Amino acid sequence: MELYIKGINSISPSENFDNISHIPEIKLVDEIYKHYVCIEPIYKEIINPLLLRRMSRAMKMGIASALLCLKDAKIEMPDAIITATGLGCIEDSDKFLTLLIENEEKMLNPTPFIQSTHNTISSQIALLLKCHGYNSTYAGRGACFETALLDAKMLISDDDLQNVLVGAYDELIANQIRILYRLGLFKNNNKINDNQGNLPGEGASFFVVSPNPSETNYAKISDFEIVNNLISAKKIISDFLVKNSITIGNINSIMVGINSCFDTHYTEYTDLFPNSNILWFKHLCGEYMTSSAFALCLAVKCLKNYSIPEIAFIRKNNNKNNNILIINKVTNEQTALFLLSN
Amino acid sequence: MDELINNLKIEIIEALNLEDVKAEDIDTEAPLFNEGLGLDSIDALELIVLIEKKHGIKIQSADEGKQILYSVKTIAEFIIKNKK
Repeated sequence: MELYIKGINSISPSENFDNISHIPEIKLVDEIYKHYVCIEPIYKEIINPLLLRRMSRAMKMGIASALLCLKDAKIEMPDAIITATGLGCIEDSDKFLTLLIENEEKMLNPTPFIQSTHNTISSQIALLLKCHGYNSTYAGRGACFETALLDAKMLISDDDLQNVLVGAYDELIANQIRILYRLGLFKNNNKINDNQGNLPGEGASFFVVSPNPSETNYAKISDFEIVNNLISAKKIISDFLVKNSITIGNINSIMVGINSCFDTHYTEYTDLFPNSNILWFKHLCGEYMTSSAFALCLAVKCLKNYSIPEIAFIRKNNNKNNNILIINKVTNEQTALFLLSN
Repeated sequence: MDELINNLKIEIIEALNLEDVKAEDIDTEAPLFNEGLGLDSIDALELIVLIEKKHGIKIQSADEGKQILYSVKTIAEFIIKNKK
């Protein structure tokens, strides 16, 4: 079953993301613990200021992105809300645990505890919209966005839903960055574009997906899959393309998750597509557990506008822009594939 | 009493992250909940923690809490009455 994307929004570190034809290079924050930071909208224009005062950054980003996405799709009430997050509202978890230690487990402030749960954002969106439909959150680390999208697909297929809001968010906080650097998970140079190793990032991206084709849709998700890395790249791609009745020569562009912990694996995939454009996205958003959602957002924008920004090219090889295959390693064991077309 | 009331207003603004509200904007005798600042039940829990943490006084029951947390003035009176 195909899914059509009716509306999108992404809050990301990319400046000028709305103008897909020109995305400038991203500036990193912090000299020692280099990382990407989202460019955030003026929240008071999107969320009631009375509610904003209690929200952490992840909540603001997630809720604002969801509301802007619904506005983009011209949908007031979705039939279901599904979110995905790798680490949840980690700022509130950090506050709550710090207070627990500092106050010797006494006199704990309730707000960070209440909001530290992973499903805070999907439930807040539902409360704001007064949406009584299906509401779920996937917190499956690297593969959670893909699982959320699969849930949306099954809901649309089995329950005949028309508009499902599905999205992902992850925020970076100071303690997390320090710990991840200490573990040696991020590269230790200033070069964003050297394709070697990753830099921590964050973002919130939301989509309204529907079973109905329309000229106003952004793009079509023909298929998506999470596959086990024990299978060879050649077999993964071959099986996926055969299932979708498309050949390697018909793929105009592939968008790969290079600049991650798994860079060496990507050549196995890029070598399979000698005549396709090779695109990348993690230099525009950084590495985080739900970065596939940013890739999906970037790819559907490219397809809708028939334009790929220069900054996204690793290799320009093909003038056609009718389909994009996203290949992103989401965990050590799993690779996510999304086949999109306009 | 005036100094305590002013300090309490500053503490409430900080604890509840009341952006754009200044101490002089808070009416000392106005209700804090529903009307006035429009606080809710989560704010009530934050205020209970604030009174215990900053002033060392514990509110014993929910009924008592309703009266104590009515306004900044009632909170100040409770603190003065119970301060050891």
